[in-house]
Amino acid sequence: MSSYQMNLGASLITSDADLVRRCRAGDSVAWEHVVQEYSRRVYNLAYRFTGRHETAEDLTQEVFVRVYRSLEQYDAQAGDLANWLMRLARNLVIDDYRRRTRTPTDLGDDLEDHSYHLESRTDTPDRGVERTERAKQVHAAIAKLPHDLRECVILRDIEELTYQEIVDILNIPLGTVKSRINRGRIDLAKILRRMKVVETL
Amino acid sequence: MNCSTFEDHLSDYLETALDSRTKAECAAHRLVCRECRALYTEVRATMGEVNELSEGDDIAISPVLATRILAATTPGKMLSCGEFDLLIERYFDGVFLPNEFQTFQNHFDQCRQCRRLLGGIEDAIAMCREAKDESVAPADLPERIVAATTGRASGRFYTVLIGVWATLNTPQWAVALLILAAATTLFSARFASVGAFKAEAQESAERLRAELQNGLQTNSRQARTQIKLAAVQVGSLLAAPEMRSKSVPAQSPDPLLQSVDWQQAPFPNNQWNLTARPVSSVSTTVAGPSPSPRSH
Repeated sequence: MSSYQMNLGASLITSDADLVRRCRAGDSVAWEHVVQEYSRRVYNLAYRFTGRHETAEDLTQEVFVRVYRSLEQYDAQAGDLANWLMRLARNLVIDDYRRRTRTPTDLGDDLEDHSYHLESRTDTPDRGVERTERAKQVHAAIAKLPHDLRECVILRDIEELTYQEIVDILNIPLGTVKSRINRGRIDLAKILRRMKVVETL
Repeated sequence: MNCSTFEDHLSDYLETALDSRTKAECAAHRLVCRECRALYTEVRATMGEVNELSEGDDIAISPVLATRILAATTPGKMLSCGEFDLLIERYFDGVFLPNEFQTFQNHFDQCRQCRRLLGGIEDAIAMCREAKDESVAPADLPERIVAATTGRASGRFYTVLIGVWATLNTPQWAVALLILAAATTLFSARFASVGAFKAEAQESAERLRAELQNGLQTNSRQARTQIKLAAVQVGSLLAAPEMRSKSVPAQSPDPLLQSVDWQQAPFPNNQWNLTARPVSSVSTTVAGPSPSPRSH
């Protein structure tokens, strides 16, 4: 349990359990805090899977609607609110991702059109621009991966889950997870190499 | 160890999750194989870059997303899309109750589909208005209506004829069409079997000739309209059921042909003979012996 302190409204909140308790009681300030705190993270996760800002926004909203309805189920003893919330978000996002990859009508990527969405939070402007450019490229390269490899790479190398966690989420054997991650990383490196070649031409 | 095996172990090798023996084999292969060495370096760099993405969460979110989420999760009045649909009419009529408008607005903010729907309706209304302003009736529409209403029973050919006429506005074309119409009338008259039809065809032929003369002399718009009416009549006659029957009985030379005075036909010079030629050739093939009107 995290031991942070925050000042919401008149009262002091000292723990996740406290925060969730207030949300359950209908405290809009507490719930707003949860939304403000985690929506960016959920949105980033959704965007990595969908590659579309509109879809990512819809998904993020869906996640929070689900979280709000499931607040009763949160058990502070079992872990951080962040972990619980992100686990819920991951399940929902992956469900959606798999649904869409089965019906590939909505699979266009708008990474190129929305470059402004990538913002930098680094110290010097030059380095910031460089980093943003590179992040954009990596995002575009990930979007080019076959979907089964893509989900494994995102979960392992961006979400930094353990192999076992990925096995649990995706419901596929450990061997498959491992080989998909391996294949995904190699493919990703090759895609980025090709992008570099195109760039220098 | 070959390149393929090296690739299979690459992730574990990078994550140092291999047993010491395999790890040594991988290291040895990396030393001797330039491609695999390059691949190792690239994949390691890529992993680093992808990892950096997770530190950042650097995709900025829309500033209104949090508001959207709050509106969607906060308990209270929330319209379903169906309820929203029911209110659309009132929205366009501008007869909302104050609280209704708020819930309508909330749903509009949160639901992309309904936003699109409303946008689509607005576009459609705008397009209708535009179309209303832009559509101007063609100049010859009144004339065409007169022709269509004062003409005889309408048939398909008759309609086509009107359409053709609409495109033929120059006097030269009018004359050409008349010649064609006259020839067609003669052709029809030649093979008609019903007495009434014959009489009508004869009358039309006479009228056509008169109008043609008139048209050539005056070239006036009024004359052209009359010519057109006559042509329309011919067209409707051709569309009559008698003319549609496929088996036309062969007949003896028709007295009608003798009644047409070709010497008086208003052909200023011989060029119009060309127009009539197909008529005579068709007439010989379709039905027995037929004295061609041109072969005198």
